[in-house]
Amino acid sequence: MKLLTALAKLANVRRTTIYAVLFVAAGLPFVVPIRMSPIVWNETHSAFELTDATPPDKVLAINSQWIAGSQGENWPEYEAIVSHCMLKGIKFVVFGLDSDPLAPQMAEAINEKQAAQYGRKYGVDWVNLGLSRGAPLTMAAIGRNVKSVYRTDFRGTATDDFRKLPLMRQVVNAKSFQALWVVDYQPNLDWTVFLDPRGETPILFASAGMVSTGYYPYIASKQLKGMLVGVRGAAEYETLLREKYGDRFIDKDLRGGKLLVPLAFGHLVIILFIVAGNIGILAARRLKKSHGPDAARGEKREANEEP
Amino acid sequence: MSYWIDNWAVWVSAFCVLAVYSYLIKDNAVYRLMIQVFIGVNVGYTVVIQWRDILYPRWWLPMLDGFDALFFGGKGSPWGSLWALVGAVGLLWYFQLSRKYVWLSRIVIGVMVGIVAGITFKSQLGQNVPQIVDSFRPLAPPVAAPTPRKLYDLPVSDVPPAIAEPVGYFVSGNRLECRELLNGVRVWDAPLQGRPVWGLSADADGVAAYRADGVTTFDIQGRQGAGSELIPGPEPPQVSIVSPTGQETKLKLLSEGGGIQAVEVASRRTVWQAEGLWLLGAEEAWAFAQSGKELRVLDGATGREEVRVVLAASITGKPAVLRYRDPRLDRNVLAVPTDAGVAAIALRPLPAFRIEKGAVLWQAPFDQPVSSVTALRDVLLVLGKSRGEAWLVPPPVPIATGTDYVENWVFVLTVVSVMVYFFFSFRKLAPGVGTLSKGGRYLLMIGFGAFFGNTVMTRMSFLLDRLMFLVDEWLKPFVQYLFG
Repeated sequence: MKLLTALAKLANVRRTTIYAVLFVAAGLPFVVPIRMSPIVWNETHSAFELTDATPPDKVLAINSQWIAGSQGENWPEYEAIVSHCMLKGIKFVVFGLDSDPLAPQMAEAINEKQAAQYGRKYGVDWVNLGLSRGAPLTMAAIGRNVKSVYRTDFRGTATDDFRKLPLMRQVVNAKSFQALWVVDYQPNLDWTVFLDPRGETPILFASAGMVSTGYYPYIASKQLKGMLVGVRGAAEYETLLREKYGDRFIDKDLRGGKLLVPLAFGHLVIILFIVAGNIGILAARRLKKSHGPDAARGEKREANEEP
Repeated sequence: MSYWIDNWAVWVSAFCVLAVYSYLIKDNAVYRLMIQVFIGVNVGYTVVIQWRDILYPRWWLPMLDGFDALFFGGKGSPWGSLWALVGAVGLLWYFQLSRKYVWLSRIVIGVMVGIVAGITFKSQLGQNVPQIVDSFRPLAPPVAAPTPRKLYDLPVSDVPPAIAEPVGYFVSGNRLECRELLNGVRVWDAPLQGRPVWGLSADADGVAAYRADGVTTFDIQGRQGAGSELIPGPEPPQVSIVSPTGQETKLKLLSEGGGIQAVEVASRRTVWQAEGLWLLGAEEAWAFAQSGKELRVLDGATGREEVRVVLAASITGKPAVLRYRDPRLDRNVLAVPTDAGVAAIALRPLPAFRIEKGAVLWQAPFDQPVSSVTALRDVLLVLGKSRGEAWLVPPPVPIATGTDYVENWVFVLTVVSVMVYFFFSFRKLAPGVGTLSKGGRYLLMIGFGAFFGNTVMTRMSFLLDRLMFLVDEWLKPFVQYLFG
């Protein structure tokens, strides 16, 4: 009876207690650094291979749409992709389309930080084309002629001023792209239809984990050639970079690997509370069966007293 | 003091974050104040940015420049003044507020609905047709490997054909023939005088046929040129090695005394040697050699053996590196001519296809020994002694394991049972159909569970992002400030 009563209380743990435990468990790895290597999923591997195989005559296109609201997942993803480009010298253009006006600024902050670490130069190694409007027709226009959509870059330089932006000489249309990365909370599937009607430009998504489940069928059908799924995807991408480039890869401040352990701790706490809650409910049922409804009602009353 | 000057913004941010999270304890006035502040700031900021970054540079300025050019002879294009129409049409939306003139707003609404419907139709077709195609999955291992598909016939050629897209040149006896490569149609042919041709080279302007007694040139229309200097015989194959710094080194490969010798072209220095191999040719940074029925692919820079494959048939010529549109396959597959046809071999590991380096991807028969193969993207020109063919080469099929087939069975069962659940949602069902429908419901719940798991991951990530800010940017520097 005593044990059952104690277990039944697990079904009525205070909400604030759950949050407090979650905060402590998830916050602990920030104070005590712990690192772990994730198992790399196929979709991350494909995306990495494709990006890594960018030849010198092609550029990587990144449609960066994310802002502060989804930076918890999109920041680590974007950071991992850009650090790969800066590390290997893969040239890239980044642009926003129908995104929040803040998106190019968020991307540029990371670009500049990574460029400083690897000694890359704006205009030569990357160009931020800023923001445009009108998807999905603009997607098709980008596929045909990038400069017709983005006449100036994020800093106001004309995109056909090859003296200041020599990289733009090799950015013409979708054929110039090794692949298009779309980094967004919920990347737009219209890219697979409108950018390159012949489907020859690979599309890669870096999305929030929440919506990623819906994209897996598109990976299976090869409409998407790879994907990063939230913090997990970013951490996997960093692992691949570490494996391939060793000490040349500067991963000190990258968020993917840093957030992975707290994420795992957080998940562990949630799972433990789910298990505990279920044990509590089963115990309450057993209590009701063996000692009548009063015993269980007592538990219920306690639960109702919660805020 | 400098700490507070540098970090006041961090404190404001930390206060905002904690104020929002205070809702976890209970709803309170500070939380609601923060929400209202965020909404207000966001709307205000967005309005300003929309004007500054979008409307002002892309609509207002071109329009003003247009009017300036139209009425005052300014520098811009007078057509820019037409942007005023965009504004006028956009303003029609506001007739929604007038009962009398609401019909004006319907014009612009109609146009918008028409455009969106057209785009959506294309978008849905483009997204969903490949999904339907992908729904048909193999439920058992294939009985035959993919093989190339014949596109059209080709003439024979005494030497490997020369390609200059969109045409290819073939030489047989004393005739030179130009063929269109898209469909194999003959464009022109011309007689060749003198000794047999030992090589062809082509570019956008035409073709040069090399003979022991001279070079004959033809332009792309088939008109014979003046010819040029005497080249006594074919040059030995070369490999080109590009260093990480972009410096290119050329090595000449020589067949010397039953082996291969690689000599640097510039310095004539011997870089590497390989014994007991017969040189087949070279392409890019690869050197191809054979030893009996064994094909060896050597790294052109070092002579190190990269691939060794024993083929069922004898090798009859120089292999060709295949060009695929898919970058995961491009230049990673080798077509080898044999006396029984053509064999395709993986030059590098293809992890996306679970294919190991050196694996034989397919072997396609040809009714006579293949004398040469020439790669043109994913088209292979295969020539024998008395005839030739152009083949469309297939991409390799990913090697499926047992778990792949299990996945495919689960996939097909899920598709069928979920469709049954939705299509036959009335009460009385035949016994088998009812069970299938019930199974469909459970499978849907598993799918929703996966969605929910990822939802938790995203929410946790967002929480962690803020926790990281609080610990790394707010608490740690503050503790450091307090205690040094």
